[in-house]
Amino acid sequence: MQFVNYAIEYLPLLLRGALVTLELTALGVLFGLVLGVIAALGRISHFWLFNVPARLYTWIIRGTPLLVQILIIYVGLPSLGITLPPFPAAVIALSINSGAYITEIIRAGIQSIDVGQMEASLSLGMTYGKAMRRIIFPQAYRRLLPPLVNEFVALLKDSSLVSVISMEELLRRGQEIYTANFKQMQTLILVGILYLIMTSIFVLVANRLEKRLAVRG
Amino acid sequence: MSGGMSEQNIVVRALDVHKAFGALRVLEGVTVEIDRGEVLAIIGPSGSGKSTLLRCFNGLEEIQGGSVEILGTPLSLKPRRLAKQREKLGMVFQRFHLFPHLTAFQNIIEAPIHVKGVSRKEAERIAYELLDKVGLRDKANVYPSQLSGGQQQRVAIARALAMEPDVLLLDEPTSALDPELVGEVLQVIQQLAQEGMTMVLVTHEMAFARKVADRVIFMEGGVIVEEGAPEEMFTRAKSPRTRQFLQQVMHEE
Repeated sequence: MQFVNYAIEYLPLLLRGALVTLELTALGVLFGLVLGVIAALGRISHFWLFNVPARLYTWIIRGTPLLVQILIIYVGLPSLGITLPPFPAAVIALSINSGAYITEIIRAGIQSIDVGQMEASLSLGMTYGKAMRRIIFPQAYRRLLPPLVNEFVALLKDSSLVSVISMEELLRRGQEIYTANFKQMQTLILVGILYLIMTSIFVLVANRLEKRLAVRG
Repeated sequence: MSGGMSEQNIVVRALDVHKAFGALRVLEGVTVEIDRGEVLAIIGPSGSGKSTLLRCFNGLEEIQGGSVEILGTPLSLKPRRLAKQREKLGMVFQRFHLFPHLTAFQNIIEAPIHVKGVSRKEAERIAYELLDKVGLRDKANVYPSQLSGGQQQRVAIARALAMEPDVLLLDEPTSALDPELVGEVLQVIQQLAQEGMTMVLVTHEMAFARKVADRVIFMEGGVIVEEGAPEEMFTRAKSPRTRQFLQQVMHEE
């Protein structure tokens, strides 16, 4: 009962943080998808000028901690004369990071499609690009949905890391609250519950979508 | 732009074609011409290069030597031109390769609309006509996964024909089918032969090749060992290798 009262008291403040978390995640996913599609095309290209940069990108980003990437962009870049406010810095870091994982997800999805599909498309007179757009992608994107949902959930949780650059998202709000009232346990559990609700809603919606897509074909 | 009537009547011309996969040489100088209206059967043991030769005809395999001409024009190295040339070459695969996310009907109208640029109405008219021809009009709105292998292959033939190609290349079209489904596909191919469709048929169905082909080529080790009229080839082959091969496979049948 005591906890419920406490929750009700601090919920408005935390929800404002949760909203920022959702904003960061949505933008990270959006730009991450754009980056991911571009880099995935590079990864499957046989032309080194496209292939090598895409490889380097996923290798470096997936091989280093997100926290380091966030700090490089927010704390490191100013020494090169590029100073970014916390919000753009956070969005850039999250986008670049999720983009690398999304690249590998999309690449694997495309390469899981039987090469016969491409050969049949080419034999009908399609160009490589048209075959990708009209035949390969529509088949791949259904397979992409489950791993992409995993990635989005991971990004939502990982967005808590940008609290270190004083981005006022959910975790940061919680920290501010318990620094003032010293109720660490209650506050952090409340924060955890809010993350859990957000990720659960996300997975639920994605499952619905997946079922609807699975009906055909 | 050279050549008169005779040039136009040669649909595919392969000249001294060489093809290797790494160190493995698959085609070692193959020369063959396919005339309009002709049905050419290519037979030979596995690994003789017959499927590879067929795939060289429409540029699915890059060749290392020699040349391939379609209607008097060499296969282009430019992707867009090559795509344009492929419109004239229908291809039917051993494992069908229908588009699983599209219905039978959508499989057939896809390329006419989005590659050739014919109107949807015209494409649909052609598609129904072809579905009638392969006896699958009632399966128009069914997805490939709900069709038997024989039905899938018949849709695949209809899909290739919808582009109104000058030649149909069939790569072992019945090899992936259960024995009881082979007949329905062969029947469609035979009907096409009677209608004068130019076809190149890579096959293990010797009796069918004998019945339907105007000319038979026997390949082994990446070269053409012998070619001739089916009756001649199947009853009095000149090469001992051909005779030996035919004896083996006819015995199995």
